[in-house]
Amino acid sequence: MTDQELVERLKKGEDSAFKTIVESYQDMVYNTALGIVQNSEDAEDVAQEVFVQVYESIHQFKGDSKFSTWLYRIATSKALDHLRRKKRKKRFAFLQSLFGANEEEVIHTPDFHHPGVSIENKEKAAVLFRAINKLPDNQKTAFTLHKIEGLSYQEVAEIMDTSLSSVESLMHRAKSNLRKMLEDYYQKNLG
Amino acid sequence: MDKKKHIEQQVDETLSSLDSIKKAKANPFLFTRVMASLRQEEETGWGRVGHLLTRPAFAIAVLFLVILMNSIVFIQQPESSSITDEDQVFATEYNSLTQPDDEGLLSYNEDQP
Repeated sequence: MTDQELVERLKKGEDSAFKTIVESYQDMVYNTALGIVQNSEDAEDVAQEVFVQVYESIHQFKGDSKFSTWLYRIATSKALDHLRRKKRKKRFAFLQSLFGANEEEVIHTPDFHHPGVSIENKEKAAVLFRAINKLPDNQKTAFTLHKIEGLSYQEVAEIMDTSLSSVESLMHRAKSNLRKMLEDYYQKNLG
Repeated sequence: MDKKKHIEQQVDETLSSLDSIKKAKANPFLFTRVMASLRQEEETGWGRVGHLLTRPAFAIAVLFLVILMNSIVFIQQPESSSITDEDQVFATEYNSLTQPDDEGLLSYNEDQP
């Protein structure tokens, strides 16, 4: 069954169509969210939010783009929103700890180990993920979609609703920023 | 020089550490979780209210209603705000009736020890 048929059936309120959509796209949505939020539990929450939104706003999908492109858009925006909320909470907890309201120490996020990375690359990938986390949102999105989801620049451009040259520029800046961050890191840690 | 070369090598290896990454698999019970979340939203009722409030049709309807109410008030205002003779007579009479009592009350209070 095509995506278009599934979407039409979901618009008519058929739950079985929704089940097929979730089962077909859950890995794609989860993997995208995981690359951005870098935490398996948070990625599950984001994936859940994405499919809830799909169910509630399927009537807004007009078919101008591919269904998977629409899903990627929702997944990246939900994942970035999740990160922003988490950062706000962290900042608030830090302020509370400064004023003594929260006696607990502010917990620092541990290194993220993506389950799809081979054992020999595990440590280096964790360092790279830490650097990716410091990139601006648009560079992070482009880099994650290309490197972790394995999408072409053209597909990334469609998802981010921008031109191919913009994605090329974003990727160039992302790589250059990552290189700088990694050089600083190894300068300090290989001394 | 060796150190710089070594750092460059480490950076290159780190940047290519995701080249052969495999895709992560979602929780197989994700659909059950999504359905539970949807049901919970419907049960609380707030989900439906929130959904209704965020619909563009609802926002446009509210906007039209506000404009309509303002127009009605604007059209009716000149008639209702003009003071009729009857109102003027009532205001004068009310003033003349209340003034002596007020003065009396004030003077009574001042006389108290």
